Amino acid sequence: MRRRHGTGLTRNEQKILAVALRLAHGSVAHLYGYEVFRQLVEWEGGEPMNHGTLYRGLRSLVGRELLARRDDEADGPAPRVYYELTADGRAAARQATIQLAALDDPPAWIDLGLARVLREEG
Amino acid sequence: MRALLDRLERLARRRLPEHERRALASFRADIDGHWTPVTAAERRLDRRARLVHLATAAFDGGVSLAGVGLSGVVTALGSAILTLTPPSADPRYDSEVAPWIGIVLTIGILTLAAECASSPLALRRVRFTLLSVPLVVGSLAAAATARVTLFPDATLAVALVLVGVGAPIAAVGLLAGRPPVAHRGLWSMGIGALGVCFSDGVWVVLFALDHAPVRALGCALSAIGALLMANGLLFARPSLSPVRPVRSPRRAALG
Repeated sequence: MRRRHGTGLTRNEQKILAVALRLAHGSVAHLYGYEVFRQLVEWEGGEPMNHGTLYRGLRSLVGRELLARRDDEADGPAPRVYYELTADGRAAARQATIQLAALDDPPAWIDLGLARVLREEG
Repeated sequence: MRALLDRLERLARRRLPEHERRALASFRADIDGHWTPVTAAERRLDRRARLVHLATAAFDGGVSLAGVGLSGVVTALGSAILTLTPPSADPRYDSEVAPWIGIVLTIGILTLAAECASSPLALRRVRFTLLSVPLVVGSLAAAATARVTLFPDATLAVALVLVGVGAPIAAVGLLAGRPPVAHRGLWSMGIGALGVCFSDGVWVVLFALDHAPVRALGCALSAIGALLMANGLLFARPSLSPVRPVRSPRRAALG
């Protein structure tokens, strides 16, 4: 996957950040993998990002410290892993939202109003 | 197909560090527990996702000994073909290594591969030591008895000595609880594997020119496997499995 100039993020990583920011604006601060996937399936419709690519994206964003990872402390064979935008991640997510909104064919679920506000905020 | 991909992915997941393994397992369990693909497009999406998960588990997370496990199978296959194929008509192309040595060497490569695939992040002291015995015997016996007439023969003999000496060094390091010594042993084996790769690479060309395609195939498989094996042995930094405290039955009875 080609990395975008400027941010060094792939298009899929930009999408994940934009989803995280949109959900954070809707007061969902702690995300988990299935929730992001569910939203992408719902918002993107026909050809959403597959969950393998989503996992790689989440992992890469944690590696870049744009998302912070927190393991659920509940016992069990597979306790849930939560993700939260870091301060740098929030800035990168704003930029990703603006860049995705500026595409010739922006994803339908990108909140263009939010993107405009973010762009004006600078 | 779905079950096969999942099985392979769970196997490959073993090579990931603990926190990565937990994160991937948790993610997969969450998706599988809540989402069932219904339409043909969703099933296609799910298949693609499972392939990506398999690739993530198999190739991400740095070099581990899992590559040695995989490459060992390819090398052993090449070694088995060379052992079972009738010798070349050109006497210079006959290594004169006794078939039993070839068989022991093949078994040694397979047992090392199995051990590395089963524990790709940590060297298990006793198991590694015991399972490397056939490899040591086979490689040193082959190095001692192989006829050296051409340049690749000499390279192969030196390479086999490096493998045959490296494995006991690694075992001593393991048993003594000295990771640097164990890693030096693996490094010697890795350099040896590179030598095997070079030698077998030359033999691929020689056998191809000699119109011996089966032997050329055996050498090609052996060379590819040896290269992958060298990558794992030279660049993986496996930890040593912890030693379980041994308590005598009498002391245990006393509590």
